[in-house]
Amino acid sequence: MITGVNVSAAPQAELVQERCDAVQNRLKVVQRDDARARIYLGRYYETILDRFITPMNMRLAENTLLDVKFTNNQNYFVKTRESFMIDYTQYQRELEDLTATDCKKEPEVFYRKLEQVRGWRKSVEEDVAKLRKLTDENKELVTGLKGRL
Amino acid sequence: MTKGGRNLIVMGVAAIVISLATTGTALTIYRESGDIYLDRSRPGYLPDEKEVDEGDPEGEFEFDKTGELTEAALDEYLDALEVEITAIEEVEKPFSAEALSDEGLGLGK
Repeated sequence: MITGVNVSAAPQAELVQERCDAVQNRLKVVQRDDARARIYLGRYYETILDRFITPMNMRLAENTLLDVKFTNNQNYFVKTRESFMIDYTQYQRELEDLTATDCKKEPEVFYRKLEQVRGWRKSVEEDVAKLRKLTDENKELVTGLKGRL
Repeated sequence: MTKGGRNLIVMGVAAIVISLATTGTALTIYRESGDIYLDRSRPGYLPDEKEVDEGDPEGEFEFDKTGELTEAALDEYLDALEVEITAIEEVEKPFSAEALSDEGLGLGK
């Protein structure tokens, strides 16, 4: 029996209570898949920063071709990567707290926490999208250099 | 009990207390830093066989920090960067909303 629940969340809380085990199993799969994605993407973006963007900017500086667009690209990439790591850690912390909540005894608390976790996941998604955009921007900047050499 | 025996017990207890304190500190740092969420040795997080068989995904390319900048060097950079971008695109819709949506969790009506 569910009591003291916000009326609009009540139907979802009931469903959470009914399908608690399936939801918990699904969350464990999401946790594992996210860890895999985080390590995989983290590794590639670290490579792009350390083996591409940074050495390119150093070489541009040596050839007196470095301009503010390249340095901005590098700086934003560094900041966004840090943001990705911080947001991901917080997201996983919240997700772990969610999976530790008993969805049979506290379905409304569970659903409220789920909504918070969704917010953090969205932040991580946005960070990844920004890193992808900055990588594409770097590619365009380097392509643009070709005509100027 | 001899003085030596007492000292031995005190040392033993001190060693245990210090071990517990340092282990507790290490575990707290492990958790707070977020490294726990990247640890693939955790049960349920072990890499799949497919991942283990894949070669070094980082590759060996590193753009030279020094030297003249030529079109050939830029082409080399762009070709190698494209390899990284292709690898990144293999992760479909990373951290998309669907996985935690009501439908994704089986809470859809």
